[in-house]
Amino acid sequence: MNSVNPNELTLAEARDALKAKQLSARELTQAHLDAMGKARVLNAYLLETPDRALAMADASDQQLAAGDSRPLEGIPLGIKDLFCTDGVTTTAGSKILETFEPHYESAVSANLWRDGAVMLGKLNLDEFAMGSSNETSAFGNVVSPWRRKGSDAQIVPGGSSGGSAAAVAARLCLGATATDTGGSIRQPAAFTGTVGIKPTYGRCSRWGTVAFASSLDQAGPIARTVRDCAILLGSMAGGDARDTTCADLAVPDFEAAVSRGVKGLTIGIPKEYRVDGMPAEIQKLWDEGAAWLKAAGATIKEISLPHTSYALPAYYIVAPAEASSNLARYDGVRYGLRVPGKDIASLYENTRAAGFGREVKRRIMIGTYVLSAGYYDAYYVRAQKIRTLIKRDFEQAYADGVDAILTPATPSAAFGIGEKASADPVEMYLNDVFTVTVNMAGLPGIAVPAGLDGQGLPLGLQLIGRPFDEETLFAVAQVIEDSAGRTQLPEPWWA
Amino acid sequence: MRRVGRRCYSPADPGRSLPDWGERDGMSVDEKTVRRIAHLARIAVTDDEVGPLQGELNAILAFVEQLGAVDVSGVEPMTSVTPMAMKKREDVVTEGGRAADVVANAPETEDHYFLVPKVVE
Repeated sequence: MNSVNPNELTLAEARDALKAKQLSARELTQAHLDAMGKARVLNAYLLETPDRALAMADASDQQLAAGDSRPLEGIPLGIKDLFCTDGVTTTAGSKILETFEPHYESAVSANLWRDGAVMLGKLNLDEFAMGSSNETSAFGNVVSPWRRKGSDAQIVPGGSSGGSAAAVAARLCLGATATDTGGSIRQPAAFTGTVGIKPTYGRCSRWGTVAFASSLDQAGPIARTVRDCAILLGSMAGGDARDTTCADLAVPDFEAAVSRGVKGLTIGIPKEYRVDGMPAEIQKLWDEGAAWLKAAGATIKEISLPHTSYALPAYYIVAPAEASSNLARYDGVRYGLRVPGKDIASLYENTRAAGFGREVKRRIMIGTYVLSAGYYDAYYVRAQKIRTLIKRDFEQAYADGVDAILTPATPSAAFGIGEKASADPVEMYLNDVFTVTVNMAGLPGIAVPAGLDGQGLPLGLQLIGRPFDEETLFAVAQVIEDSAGRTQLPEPWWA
Repeated sequence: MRRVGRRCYSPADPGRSLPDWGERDGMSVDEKTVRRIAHLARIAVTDDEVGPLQGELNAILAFVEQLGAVDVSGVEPMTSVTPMAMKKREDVVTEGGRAADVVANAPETEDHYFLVPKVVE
């Protein structure tokens, strides 16, 4: 197989090497399975599926030999364990689904297999995707492949798609599926020096993905380059009659958009994202990002998104409300854990008490409270009105000629495991302050690595686009990637 | 932060009405309310859990209280994230005959029925 090191290839490079017969799909998959076997200390994979992976790789080798390769032929991927996979345990990171084996395949993962991709296994996540550090997983936290300079203290990979981000950064897959309800793709991508895009609400089908907050949930990829994300989203996206909110739009050639450049584009810099207490390094990086785009031919324009600060509190009404409704289905009767009780009500109560973790219970209870009689209008309806205002802010900016908006991805670099385990859950929620606006408005957002902080941990920038204009995000993100230089990922200390 | 809700609360304007915020101590929940919510959510809580849950729920409620400062009069609540007409499928059977799949993950079943404790005496 020549001198190609299969684990260090980007997805695009691997695709080209497979087509050029420089390596086989089986070799590529086996190299990743070997790397996974040596990286179990990271706890990124909840389940490895080597038999299925090799069978899929062999099928890809046949397609390649026949000169009939599909867009992702032989590309090994990790699947966040929130996507139902036919005949393969799908836990959502929860005890309540510990043994759940779906008899159907999620729309997004089915699209990937249709296009020839190979499944390596299921990736760890915060329980029901509720968390920003992967510490709420019922099956142990994920350890980031990153460490602070001169320290071997464990760092969080972010969340909820922490397993996806860690696996991509540690070269345990060429790309991964992820989901984003308030920042769960972009924050872990920023924490691990990887690229993650949350597409426009409706771009990917939600069918077969375990639901958290249905008006906010959206699937997207995490990968090591902007181009790799564009390739993956091209396969994941597409209309689906089984999800009534999935848009019946043709999927653009996202990969072609990557090299468009930014000449003539106007990039907005929202002043409300300059929050108190933001590290000087992040402000500097943000300024640098704007300077790169300007140097590449874009116009930089300060804009105002006045309702920004209300997005996070409104989210903590809308998301728990929808979660309390969605998670009502876990009742110990139809699937999952069952803990007996003296009657049906105590069976429900005992099952849910034993099956859900602390953060999930908290959110279900907040949701139950804000939807309860007498409080619905004051909380839920008010939050949905504020959502309208947040969306209007963006619409105004786009109407004034802005093509994309540049912000920091997170208010800080990754933190240590256990560092934010205070009694106040809001401290953890503040991680999503820059990303959650995008979900509230249903817009696309991409996080792209832009540099390292003083401790040697990655920092990311976020770009926010017009609805269904992911192409512009890929074009602008590529300019940032080119200007910042590809992030040097950590050497495998775990292997 | 507690007082924000009270300042902006105007009973004359239903678009801005808020629950009891001025009358009670902010929007905090007491232990009894925590137990009531847990029961509504069908989650058993032990006596030891009530106190910490009360603190955590109140921290979240205090955080969202700042929404009382926003003037939402005349604003429509968001009902569709992206502008779209809801798709409607034809009123035909699309799937069926998969009872074994449907009950495959159920903890207790019999003849393709879900088994639960006796509900009606």
